[in-house]
Amino acid sequence: MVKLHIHRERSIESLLREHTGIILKVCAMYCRRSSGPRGGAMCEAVPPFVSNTSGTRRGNEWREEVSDLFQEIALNLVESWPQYRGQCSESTWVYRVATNVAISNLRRFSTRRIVLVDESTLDRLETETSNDTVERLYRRIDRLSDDERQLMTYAIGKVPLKEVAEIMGLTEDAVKHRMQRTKEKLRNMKDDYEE
Amino acid sequence: MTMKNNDDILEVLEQHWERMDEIAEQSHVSVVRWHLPESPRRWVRSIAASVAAIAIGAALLLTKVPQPDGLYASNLSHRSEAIEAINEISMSIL
Repeated sequence: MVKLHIHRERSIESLLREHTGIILKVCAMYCRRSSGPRGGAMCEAVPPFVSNTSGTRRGNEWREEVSDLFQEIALNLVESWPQYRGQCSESTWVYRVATNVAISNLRRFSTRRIVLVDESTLDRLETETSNDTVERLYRRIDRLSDDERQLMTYAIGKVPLKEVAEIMGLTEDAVKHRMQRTKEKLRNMKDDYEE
Repeated sequence: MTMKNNDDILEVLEQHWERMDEIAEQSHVSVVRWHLPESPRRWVRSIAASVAAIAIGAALLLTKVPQPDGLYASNLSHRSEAIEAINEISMSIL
């Protein structure tokens, strides 16, 4: 196995600067849609999401959740960095740590903010995930199992199949098969408000 | 919502994630330094140790027993009481 060159002297800032995109994506995948930008069930007459300045309660809860998870992932990345041996690409490692944190649902620092995401990023993230089609897809993803959601995260993040197989302890064929099945499941799933 | 085929789902999400990359590129994430010594875990441990030390001290004071020479000593028979006091004090500090 070819080991990658690892810069041991990484600061939390440089790790975050490089991988903010992955962390935001994992936050979007895992932060509950029930308290998401648009709030509860889709059948409710919820006004379209306007930026945070409107101060919708559910929107604020979702932003809080995103900020908490973002921070937790960032802190875990810094803590786990010394254990990173370069067995996979750095971005795969970030995906792995981030999804593990999201699944384990740790919230150690929820009352104390150490890592701060600027408001305009949260505004843009909220608007982006409030896009009708995207939000519907996320609502469907919310109903997947942990494994299925993790697989989808890796699939959309274009994590190499071989590395996904290693992370999930499966063969490449099994990963491919499960990814296909999960996509099929998503496609055939009814939206929650249709049920 | 109707999906034409499997690839549509991934396509929609991939495009959405590309836009998220743009958001990330323009984002500003800051780290509050004074909250973060070299390791957050070590930081939590040091806080926990301080809390425990204060709690033990307070518990010893609360369970002290007067001695004939006018001094006070912590009574070992009050151990369970002391442990309970330590727990309670730690919880109220935290």
